[in-house]
Amino acid sequence: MKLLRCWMWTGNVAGAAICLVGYVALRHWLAAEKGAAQLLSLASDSVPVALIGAAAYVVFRVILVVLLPPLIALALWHRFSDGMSCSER
Amino acid sequence: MTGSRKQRSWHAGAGLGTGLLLCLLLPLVGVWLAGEPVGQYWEFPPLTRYVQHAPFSWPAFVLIGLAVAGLVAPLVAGLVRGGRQVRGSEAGPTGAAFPVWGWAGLLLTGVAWILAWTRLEWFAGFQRHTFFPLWLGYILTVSALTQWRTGSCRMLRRPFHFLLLFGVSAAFWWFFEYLNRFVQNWHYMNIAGVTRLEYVTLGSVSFSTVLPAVSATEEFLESFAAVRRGFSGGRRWHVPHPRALAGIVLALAGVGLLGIGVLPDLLYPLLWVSPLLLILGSSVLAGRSTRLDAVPQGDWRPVAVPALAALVCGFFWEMWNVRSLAAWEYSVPFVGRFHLFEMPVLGYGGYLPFGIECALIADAVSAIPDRVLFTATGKVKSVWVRAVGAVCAVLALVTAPFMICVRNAERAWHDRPDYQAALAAGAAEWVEGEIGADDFKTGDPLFDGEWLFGTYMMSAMGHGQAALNGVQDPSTALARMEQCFEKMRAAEVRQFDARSWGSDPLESLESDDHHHAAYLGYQNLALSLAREVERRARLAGLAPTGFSEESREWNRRITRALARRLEQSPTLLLQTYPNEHYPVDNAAVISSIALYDRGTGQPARDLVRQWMTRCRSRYVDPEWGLLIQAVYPDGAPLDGPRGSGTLLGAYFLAYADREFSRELYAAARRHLARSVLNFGLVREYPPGNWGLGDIDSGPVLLGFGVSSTGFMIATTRIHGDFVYFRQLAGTAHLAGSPYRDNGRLNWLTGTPIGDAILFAMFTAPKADVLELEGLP
Repeated sequence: MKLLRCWMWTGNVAGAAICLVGYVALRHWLAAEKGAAQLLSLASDSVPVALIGAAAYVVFRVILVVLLPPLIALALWHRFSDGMSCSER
Repeated sequence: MTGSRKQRSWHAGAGLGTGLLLCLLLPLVGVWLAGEPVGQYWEFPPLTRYVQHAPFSWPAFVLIGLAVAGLVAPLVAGLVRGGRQVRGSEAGPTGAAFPVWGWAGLLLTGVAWILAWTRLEWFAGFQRHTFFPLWLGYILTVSALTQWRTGSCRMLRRPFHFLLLFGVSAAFWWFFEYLNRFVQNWHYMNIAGVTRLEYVTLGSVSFSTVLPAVSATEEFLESFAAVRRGFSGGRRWHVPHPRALAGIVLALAGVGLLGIGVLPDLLYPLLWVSPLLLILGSSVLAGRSTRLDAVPQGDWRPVAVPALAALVCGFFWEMWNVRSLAAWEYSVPFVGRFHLFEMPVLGYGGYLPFGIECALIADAVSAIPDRVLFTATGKVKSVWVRAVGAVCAVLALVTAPFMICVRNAERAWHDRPDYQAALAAGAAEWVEGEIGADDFKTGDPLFDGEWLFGTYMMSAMGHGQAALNGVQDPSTALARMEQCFEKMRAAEVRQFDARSWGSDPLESLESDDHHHAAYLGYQNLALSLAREVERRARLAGLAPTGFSEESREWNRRITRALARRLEQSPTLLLQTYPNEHYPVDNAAVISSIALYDRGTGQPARDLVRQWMTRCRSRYVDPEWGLLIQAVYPDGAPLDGPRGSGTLLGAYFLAYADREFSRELYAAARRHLARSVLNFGLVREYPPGNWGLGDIDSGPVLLGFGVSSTGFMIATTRIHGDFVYFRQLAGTAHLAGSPYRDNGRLNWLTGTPIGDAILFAMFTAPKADVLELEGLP
């Protein structure tokens, strides 16, 4: 839970930025390499570069598209819920 | 909040429960007692129009008009009276600056309004979702106005209670959606293709703004002295026997609801009125306080102001609705003329009781004791923090990813030329480039060769289909197909097949020893499609070029060879490779023959009909209705039924026998199609059967196959399943990662064959296009 809060409060901006920058960079690299077809070709010559690149791309894409929206929603809610004290007690 | 008001609110909550329960049950019981089917009321999302409404009627219009006027007149009189009383002395704003968040609300409303009423290309994928931001902006703006005028507003005074209104509001409006099933006074437009989960989540998000909007507007109106005074010193109305009257009202409302589904034309006003009557009636009978308690003293504010607030909101609901994409339309019996926006003018009368209902629900939410929601220090209890956080996270998880990924699905479905042209350019790039079998790394030279061949074959199919759909010029399409044919006939491309058989597939056409079913069948299907494109173009009065005499001759010779070999086969199956029989490859063979017959203007030969009969009886699994993946030389099943073979087969067979194709598709839809967070995923094996992925299925993850999911895209198009098409398009977007550059669309995690297959799948012709003579 602490880790989650830590991510939400301090890590979310940095984490999202890293994901975004990494994702965009990899996307452009993949596009320049004509996609995974070339990646697979590369795999025979430089396996680590190709596989790490492709794996990182997929991970970043899943984080950005699937996981980030609920994380942003949670982070926003936690930010606002702290200010929702009962003022009419 | 004063004690008496608190008490009134709490009592209202109890009456509310009883009223709501009656409202839920009575219409259903009425329909059931009348012996009518109740199943139609459960359709979800509701798309069928089963209530035929009465036409316009002047006598009814006048009668209902008088009733509405009777409700509106006191409101107008109150406002006029209040205005006179405070003339010149209405207090202005407190002097504080208009809140920053109010400006944000105003900006949000302005931007959402522009987006809702325009059709900007880049926003097309989100065009349906402007309702929530519009109304969130409205709520912020109106609350800020109240804060500005009075120094306080409900949203800041009791923020968590106000937030809870959003959740309650969603449930509240679903209740009216439920009652509307029985009268069908409104229906939503442009919701075709929306999944059930989307309808629930996106509907709930939109509906969540109703109560906060009416509540904020009520408070804003009450900030005007003219409104307060106008309705606080009104006519005193003393009801001599309130309990007796409540009993009569309750009985009438109950009977009315009982009959609402049986006589929707007569009783539809009860949709708005009866919940109010039931709640108020039951409260009076139980001796609980109600919003009518102050009426005998001439204080009409508790009912008049929320009614007015709903009318104000109603104006904005109807106005913003009129040019929004996801809009609603009305079908109101007898009074369906004289519209203000989409709503017949008398329909606005329904907002008056609705406003009071909103106030009753808001009262019930306000009455939730602080001790239930807050800790001793005044913070929101952690259980609520977690609960609301979980709801927010789940809503975001269910809505946002799919919304992002599905934004181009409608363009694909509706054959938008820009989308199909980008797919065509993406696939054409591989055909024009210099790729070879070495560029594929399947681990087996045979499959590397198959994938290279498949890239050209599927590209050719895509171009031909784009021409059939009318989005690619036939001559351009035929020229691009011709490029694919030349590549497919190249010695290095057909090498994979020649090596497996020990004979060249094209040089051995006159001999029937070797079948070469896959190489010849797949190529011939694309060739026959080119012939069909050419035929249709000529029927449309065009003179297409691009289909060479050489390809035409190959099409003729291959068709003749395949037909002859099939006729000699006791199983009506040809071998893909020596002693390997795959019904799906034979589906390509027979479809290529059927399409050849059509393209040459001949009636389909008997062989086609015989093959379909044989395939249905022998090569379709009787339990699941799916195509068996592989069979022994005697036709007995070697492998089980599979998603990839069934759906690719259904795609091919659409060119030969659409009914058979539809049967296979329906079986796959029933047994293999699944949905996770709205994303469509298709199983490779029927439920209860598991297997590893192979070259046909692609990777199989948690039972879902890449190939079966991809091939199903084409069959959803062919058989008009827009809902599942959208779900699959979302999956293709998420997993395939489309990349647009210089007018081309490539799929980054695919391969050249991935680009080609998705091009073919996304351009598969719909049934009406398949049936056409000529081009659309």
